[in-house]
Amino acid sequence: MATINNAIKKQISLLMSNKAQWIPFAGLVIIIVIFEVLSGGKLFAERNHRILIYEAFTLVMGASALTFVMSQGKVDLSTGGIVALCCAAGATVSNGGSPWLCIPVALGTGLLIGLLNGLVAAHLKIDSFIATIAMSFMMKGVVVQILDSGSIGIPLKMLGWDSVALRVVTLVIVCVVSFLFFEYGKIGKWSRAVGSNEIAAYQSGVNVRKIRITGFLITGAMAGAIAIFSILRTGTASTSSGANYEMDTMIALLLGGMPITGGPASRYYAAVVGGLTMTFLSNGMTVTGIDAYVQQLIRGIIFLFAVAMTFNRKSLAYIK
Amino acid sequence: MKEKNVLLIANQISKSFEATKALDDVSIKLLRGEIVGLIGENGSGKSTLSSIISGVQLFDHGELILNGESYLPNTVLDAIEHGISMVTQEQATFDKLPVFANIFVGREHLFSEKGFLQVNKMKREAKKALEQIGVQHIDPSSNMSSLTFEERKLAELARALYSEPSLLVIDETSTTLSKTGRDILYRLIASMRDENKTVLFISHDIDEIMEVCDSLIILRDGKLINTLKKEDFRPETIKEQMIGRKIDTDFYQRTECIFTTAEKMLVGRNLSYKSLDDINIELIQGEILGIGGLTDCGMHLLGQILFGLVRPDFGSVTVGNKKITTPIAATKSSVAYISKNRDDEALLTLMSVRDNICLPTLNRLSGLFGVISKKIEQNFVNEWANVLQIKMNNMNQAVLSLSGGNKQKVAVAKWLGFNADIFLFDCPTRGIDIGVKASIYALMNELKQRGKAILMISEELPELIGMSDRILIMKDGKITGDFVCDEEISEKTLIQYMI
Repeated sequence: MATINNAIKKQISLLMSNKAQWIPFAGLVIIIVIFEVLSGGKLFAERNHRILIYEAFTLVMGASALTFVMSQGKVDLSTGGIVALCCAAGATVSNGGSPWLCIPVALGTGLLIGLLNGLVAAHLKIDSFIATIAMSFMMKGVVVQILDSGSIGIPLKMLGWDSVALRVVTLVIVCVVSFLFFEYGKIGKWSRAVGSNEIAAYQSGVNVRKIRITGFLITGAMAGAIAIFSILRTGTASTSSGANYEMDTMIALLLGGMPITGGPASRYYAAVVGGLTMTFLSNGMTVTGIDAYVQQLIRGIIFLFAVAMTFNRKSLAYIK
Repeated sequence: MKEKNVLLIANQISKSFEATKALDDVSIKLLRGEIVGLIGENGSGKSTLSSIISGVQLFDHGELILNGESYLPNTVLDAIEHGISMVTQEQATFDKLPVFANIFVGREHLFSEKGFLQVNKMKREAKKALEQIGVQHIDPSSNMSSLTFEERKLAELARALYSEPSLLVIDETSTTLSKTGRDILYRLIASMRDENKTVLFISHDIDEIMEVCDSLIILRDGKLINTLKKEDFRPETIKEQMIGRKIDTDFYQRTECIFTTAEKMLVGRNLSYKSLDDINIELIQGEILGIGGLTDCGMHLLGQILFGLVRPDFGSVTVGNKKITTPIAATKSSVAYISKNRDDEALLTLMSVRDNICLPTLNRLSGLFGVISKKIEQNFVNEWANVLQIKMNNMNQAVLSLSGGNKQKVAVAKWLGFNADIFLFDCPTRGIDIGVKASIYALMNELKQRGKAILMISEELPELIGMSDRILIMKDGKITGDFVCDEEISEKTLIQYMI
């Protein structure tokens, strides 16, 4: 009996020591079960499928891109602003010239702002937290200038481009490519190395600046892509396009188990698991009928919880 | 229990850092009115023991008894309150603060009145503290950074003695002092003994220890090997017990340089930066070029400049016709560098052995779209871990969990795998135990045979003399001595150029 007890205790302590690895998955399952019950089955009702897919699309795609920045121990809080700017720029050109122009313009704008973020972070050595918040303010200022009437519509025929199938295919491609690049690619390995110990990576010949800039290019380009789908879905670019995108993707990634300090424990599954958890959480709260202000409160609590859970205090002395 | 003459007892003290046991069950006794030597090689645990006694860090197991009472210092200030002060091996001063502020750091409350510091009183007291140790020429108001290394050490000494400690711990301070500085130090130590106080004197210079100390504690690999009384001091015995076997004359296996073409691999011209003054250096294929000097002589900075980590104000570093301005340029020209600060700068200790070994070579290992096949990666890691015989459970183990010697092997493996031609080693055997040291030396010789060029910056003279083909000695940012190692060079000769 005693030996069995010990064996169980050993298993439990093993589980607890690896808790950062299994808690995200357990969290996803618990969130799904709770809201499926609370909403009386509305969460998985057929008319909710499309909404779930659209929300998961944005969150998982955004979190996938953010993986490449957060694994470096940096954050990108400008992505919401970039989405708004790309929406405004894309909508403007789709009215002026060919609707197709919307795609290169939105992606290009995203890349450009990402490059700016990267240059500021890599060359001015301003921490990404400050730099990207500042960038976000600037984006919002520019967006208000572009959209002086409040919003810009797009040509009606563009609304037909969007479909669940397109989104699912795009999402799957992005996930597979991100997974390969992050887990097996140079860029992923470099990102984790830079996040683990920037000085040692630099002294191993890693081009740290290039990696930093690449990370912000990826989040910038992804914000451009999200912007395209956003205007296709709503038909307009407005000042509220992309609102909360930066925080939601970051919380999603943290809920998926990405350590806020980045480094060696960064894994790609965090983007998928966390993106889905966040989808079911926010959609679940809506279908259950929780008041919008209470939802904000819950999000705040979840955010704190996610950081506390993934923050590796033991190795903090080494991460710095 | 309370013995009259005993000041401090350390009972079965153990201390580990991750996998390494720095101190293993060490028990010692310090008597009043005695100068006790503490000797051992690098990594033997002497600094760990002294830092535990002086409150820098806590031990894992065991107990300390001071004046018959249990003693558990939490901080350095706590130790000072208990009458234990320390002068450290590394420089422990605040450069940007004036001398008086340094002397009373942490004890400002002694000079506080209604929340304001009485600066003039501090200056007066600082002058007194310096005069008490026989130093007249240091102005307490001057900035610490304007002082020479020796003057800073003297200020530290004044700080340590101001609190009138009953135990003074001196950690390898004398090696950095000139004759005058040493005389001051020895005089102070002797007067402490006369006042029935205790000095714990740490050194690895056997001659000095035999001269100064009344008794001697010998540590090796974290274990207490022996304690000797003055009448039992014999240099051969001490040496043997320090190293653990008879001194083997070919422990350092210097091999002849087989490349006679004398091709210049790495050239530094007119390098000036901070204390470095117009340094010229040439590294030739198939040689080990040793650079020695005191820690502060600028040799570590020179290593960083040669790898492009620090850009000099004047002068240039070239490999072939390529200029080295960044580590990225350096690695493109096949230059490898292993920092003295191995755990923070040379290795990603939280990452796996595999990730560390592959890191510089990722570009070459990756295939289509920059994706690396797991198999190629594993074969690569296995190959180089085997060449260096890295002791590990598996390649996904974090480097943090390896011993010092194996960590160094990982650092070398990543550059060997990268196929570097020029190796800049800053203190390659720092904190590595003796068995692994020999294998690092053997490895350096093998690199030499393969036609690589090696620059070895070292603070250990026997290592420099034993391994180098040429030795440059630096002092205050200048090269003061240039030796070819085909004649008998003694440590004494080199030291003359260092100080």
